[in-house]
Amino acid sequence: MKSAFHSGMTIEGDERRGAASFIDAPTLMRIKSLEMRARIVVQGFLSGLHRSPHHGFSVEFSEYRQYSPGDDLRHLDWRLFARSDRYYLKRFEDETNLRCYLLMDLSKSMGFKTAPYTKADYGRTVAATLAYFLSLQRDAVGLVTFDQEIGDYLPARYRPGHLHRLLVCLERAEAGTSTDISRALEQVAMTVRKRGLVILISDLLSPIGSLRSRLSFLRSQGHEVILMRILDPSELAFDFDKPATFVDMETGKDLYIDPHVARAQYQAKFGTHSAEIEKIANDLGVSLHTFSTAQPLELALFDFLQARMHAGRKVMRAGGRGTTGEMGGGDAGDGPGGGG
Amino acid sequence: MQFLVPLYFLGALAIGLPILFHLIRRHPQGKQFFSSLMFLSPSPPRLTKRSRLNNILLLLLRALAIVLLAFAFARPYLNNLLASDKTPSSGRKIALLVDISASMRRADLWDQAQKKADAFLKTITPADQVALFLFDDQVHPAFGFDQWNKAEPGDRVKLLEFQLASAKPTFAGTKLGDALANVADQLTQVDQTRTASGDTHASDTMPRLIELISDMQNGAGAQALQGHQWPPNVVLNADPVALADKPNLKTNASLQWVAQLAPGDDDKSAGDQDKLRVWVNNEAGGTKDQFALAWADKDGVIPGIDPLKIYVPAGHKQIVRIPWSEPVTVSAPATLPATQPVTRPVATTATAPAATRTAGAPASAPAIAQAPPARVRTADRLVLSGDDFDFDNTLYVVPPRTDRFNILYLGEDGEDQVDSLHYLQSALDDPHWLVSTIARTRAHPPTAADFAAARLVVLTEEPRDDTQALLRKYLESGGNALWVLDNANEAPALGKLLGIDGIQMHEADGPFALIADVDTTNPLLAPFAEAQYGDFTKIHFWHHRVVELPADATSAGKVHIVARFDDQSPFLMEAGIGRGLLRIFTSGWSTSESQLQVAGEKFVPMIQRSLKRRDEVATGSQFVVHETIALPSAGSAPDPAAPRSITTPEGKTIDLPAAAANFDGTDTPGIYMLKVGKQDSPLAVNIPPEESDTQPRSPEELSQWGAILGSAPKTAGQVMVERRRQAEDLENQQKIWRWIILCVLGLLGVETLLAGSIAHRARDIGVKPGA
Repeated sequence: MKSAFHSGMTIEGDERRGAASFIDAPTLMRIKSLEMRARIVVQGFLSGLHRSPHHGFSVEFSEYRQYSPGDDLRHLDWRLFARSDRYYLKRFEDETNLRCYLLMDLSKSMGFKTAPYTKADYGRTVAATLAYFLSLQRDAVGLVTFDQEIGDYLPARYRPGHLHRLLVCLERAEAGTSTDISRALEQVAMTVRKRGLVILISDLLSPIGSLRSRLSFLRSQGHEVILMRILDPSELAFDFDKPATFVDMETGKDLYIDPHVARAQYQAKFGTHSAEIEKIANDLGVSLHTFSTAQPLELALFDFLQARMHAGRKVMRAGGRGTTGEMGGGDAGDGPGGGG
Repeated sequence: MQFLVPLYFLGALAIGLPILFHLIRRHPQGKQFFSSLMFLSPSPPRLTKRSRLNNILLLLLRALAIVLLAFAFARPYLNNLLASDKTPSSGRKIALLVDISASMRRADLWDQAQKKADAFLKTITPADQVALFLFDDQVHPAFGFDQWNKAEPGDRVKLLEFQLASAKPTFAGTKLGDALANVADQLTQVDQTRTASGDTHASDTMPRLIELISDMQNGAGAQALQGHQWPPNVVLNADPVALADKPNLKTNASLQWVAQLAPGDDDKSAGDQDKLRVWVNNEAGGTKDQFALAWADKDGVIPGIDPLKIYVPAGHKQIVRIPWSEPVTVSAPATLPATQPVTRPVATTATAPAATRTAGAPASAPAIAQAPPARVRTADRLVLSGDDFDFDNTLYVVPPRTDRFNILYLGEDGEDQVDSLHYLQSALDDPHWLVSTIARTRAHPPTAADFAAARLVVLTEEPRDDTQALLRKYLESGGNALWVLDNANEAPALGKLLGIDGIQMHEADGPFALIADVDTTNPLLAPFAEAQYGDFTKIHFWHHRVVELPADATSAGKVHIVARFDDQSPFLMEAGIGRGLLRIFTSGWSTSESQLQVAGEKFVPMIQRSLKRRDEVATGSQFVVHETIALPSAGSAPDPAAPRSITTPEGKTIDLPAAAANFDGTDTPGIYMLKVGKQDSPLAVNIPPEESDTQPRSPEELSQWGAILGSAPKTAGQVMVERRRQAEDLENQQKIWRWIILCVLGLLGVETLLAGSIAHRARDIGVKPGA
C-alpha cells in the first residue's frame, strides 16, 4: 500500500486555504475527545483532496526491463515472453507499509499557553491527526512520548485497537522538569530496525547540543525524519507587556523580567536558537515545520504536506533517480502522486 | 528623662518605611509562567523618580504619631530619684559585720570568715563606703565610716583588711539579733542626722547593705531582731561560714553549770548534794556519744583522779553528778605519769584542808628525801573530752563556800524562848554555812564583842538599856536584828530604839489571826511573790501584839509595815537604823505563839534571808563571759575601807575603785579571784552555754525576724538589675506613656480629619489622594 505521503496527492494549498471548511484551532480544541478531533481534521482534510487515498493501494506496475543474465527468473514476465518472445523482467512498486513513529514531547514546557489550549494539546491533536490519517491508509503507526525520560512506547503497528491505545497514550498529562529529545531519538534508533518515518513533535526549547548527532544517526539508519516544532505565539513574539516574575515551567526557576527590556534580547537569542535548528535540519535533510498554536490545524497539516511534496520533488530532482521500493521514506516521493 | 526600654525607639524607624515604599516602585507581585527561561536574563528592579510628596502635612502627622508611639513604648520616666546614681559618688554603704563569738573558734571557721571578708572586700568599688563591725554579744566597731572617709582612697581597703587580720574570736556568746539591729540602726542613723541638718549628701540615697559573715549558729540569738523595726532601705546579705565540707567534725558536746541543790530541795538526789552537777549536752547531728569528764587545773588534767566516763547520745542533754575534786598533792611535775606517788589531802571542805595522807609509795625516808618537791594541785575546772570541738569543753567551777557566822540570841530560858531558839537553829541549819549561836539573857548580857561577831541579832525579850545601846550601835554600823515582841510592855523600849514616841501596843483579841497582807517586794518575803507560794492562810497565829504606830512614823518612812494580820495590825515591820535594819515580829514562832515554825517553806526562807545585810550585794560564783559582776559594796564589809581587787585568770590584778559597784572585765573564761580586804572569793567565768548550740541555721530565717534579705549586688550585672528594678518602679509610678498615647490618639484624630478633607477635595477635583 502506498502511503498518502507518498501517493501523489494533488494538494492545492491556496485553494484549501481559501476554503471556509476549516475549523479554527480554538474551536477544535474544545472537543474533548482526541480521536474525534483527529477524525474531524482528517475528514476536513480529505474532503479537500482530489483523490481519495482509498485509490492508492494496489499492486502497481512500475516498468519492464530487459533481462540480463543473472537476473532472477522469478521476475520474468512470461506472458510478455509469449507475446513477444523477449525476456523482460517486470518491476513493481514497493508494497511494504509505512512505519511511522510519532515522537511526542510531553514535557512541562509543552504545557505553556497563552491561547485557551496548550502547545501540548495542539501537538497531541497534530499527532492524533497524523496517526488517524495514517491508520486510514493502513500504515503502521508507533508512538514514543517523552519528557526528560521516555514515557510510553508503542511499537508501530496496524491492527484494530492500536489507534485507540495510541490516542490514550497521547492523552497523558505533560510532566517532567526538562526535555531530553535525544533520549527519545535514541530509543527509536535502538528499537526500530526497519526504515521508517520519524515525526518529532516538540517545541525544541531545550539545548540542542546532541540533537545533530542523534538526527544524523537516525538519518544514517535510513529513517526519514520530520521535525514539527510547536510554539506559542508569545514564545515567538515575546509580547508580554507587564514586568513580572517569570517562572520556568520545567525547572521552577524564577526571574524578574521586564519584557520591555528583555524582549529584544529574547528575540535575538530565540532567533539564534531557531537558526541553529534550521541549520541542523537543512544539513541533515530533515524537514522542519514550525507551527504556531494560533494556526488552524488543517492549515498546518496542509502546509506540512505541501512542504513535503516540495521537499520530495526537491530531493527527487536532486537525486535524479527514484528510490527502490524498499525505500519507504517520504524522500522517495516517486509514487504516482509525486507525479501528480 | 530616661527610658525603660529604649530599644523600642527602633520602632521610630517605621516612619522611614512609608517614605521608602513611596519612593521605590514595588517589586512586581505577578507571576508569569513561561515555557523556558533559556533565552531570558533577569532585569534589575527600577527605582522610579517619583519623589514628589503630595501631602507633606499628612505625612508629618503620621510620622509624628509613629514616633510618639515608639516614644511611649520606650516607657520614658523622669529620673529625679535615680539621678544621684549617676554621680561619681554613686556607691553602696556597706557594713561588714563579722562574727567573733566563741563558736567561731571551731576548726577553721575563723579562717573561712577572714577569707570571705577578704573576698568581699575585693568586690567593692571605689565609690562604696565600708565599715567593719565585729560582734559577739556586743558590737565592736573596728573601722567606721568616718575612718573610711578620712583615709586615703588607696589605703582604705588595706586599713580595713589590717583591722580584720588583727581581729580574732573572743570567748563571748553571740547576740546576732542585737548586733544586726544595732548596725542597721547605725546605717540609717547617718541618714537621719544628715537629713536633719539639711545636708543632702549623695550618700543619703546610697544603697545600704549589711554583709554578715557568721556561723549562724542556733544559739546566736537572732530572734532578738523580732522586736526591732528593720529599716526598709537596709539590705542584709548573710554569708555563712560552715563546716559542711568536714564530715569528720560533727560532734560538739558541752558542759554547763547547773544551779546546785539547795538544802531544802526536795530532790530524789538529795544524797548527791556533795557532788557537782553539770549538764552535758551532746548536740544533735553528732556521731560520737561517749565522753569523759576530768578534773583539771591550769596545768592540765590532774593525774590520779579517774576521769568519769559518760554516755550521752547525740541530741540529748543530761545532768552528770561528779564528786567534787579534792586538792591533790603531786610529788612530781604534772607531766609525769599518774602512777607517781600521789598525796591526797583528806579534807571536808575545799577551803580548809586539814590533813593529808600519802598514797602509793611506801614511806621510806630516803625515797621521800629524793622525791621532787610536792605540789598541791587544786582542780578548778572540769574538762570534757571525746568530741570534735574543744572551745566549750572546759567548765570552770568554784567549790561551794561554807560561810561561818554567829548569831546572837537574846532571850530568857523560858519554855517559849528555848522553843524559839530551837526552831531558829533548825531554820539556819544548812551545809552552806556554819552557824554558831551565842545565847545571852538579861542576866548575862551580851558584850560589844558579841555584837561585833554577830551576823544577826535575835531578841525575844526586851533588852536592857546597856544592851539596847550596844544594839543601836550595832545596827547603825550595818547590823541586822530581829525583835520578836513578847508582850505589850515592850512598846516604850521599842519606841526608844526606833526613836518614835507614842507607840501603842496591846495584846490582840480573838482565838487566832491570819496573815492577810504581804509586801512581796520586801527582800524577806520576795520568795512568796509567786502565787503558788504566797498562801499564808494555813498559818495560825494564836497570839500577837497589836502595835499602833503614830501616823507620822509610817508616812515618814521610819517604819515600813511588811506584813499585816487580818485585823490590819502589823505582823512584820522594818525600820532602818543607821546602815542597819531592824525587823520587828509582833508574834513569835514558838509553838505557843503560832504555827509559823510548822510552815517550814515560809519560816526557813524568811529566817535565812534575814541573814542578809541591808546593803550587802550578793556575789554569786558562776558567771559567763562579759557578764557584769555585781561587787559587794565596800561598806558592807567588816572593814569598809578594805581595798578590793580582782585577779584575772591571766594573773593580772585589777584594783577596783571604792565607788565601783560592778566589774565588767570578764573577757576570758577562767577563775577570777575577788579580793576584799583579806577575803578571797573565787568567781568562775565560763563561755555562755548558748554558744555551744552550734547547729547552723539558714540565713533565710533572719527574714522571719524582719530583716530584709538580699543578695549582695556583687557584680556590675546585679547592680544593673537593681537599678532596672528601681527604674521600673519609678516608671510605674509616673506612667508618662499614658499621656503620650493620649497625644497619639489626638494626633490620629487630627490626621483622620485632615485626610478626610483631602480625600473629599480630591474626589471633587478627581484626583486621588496620596501622602
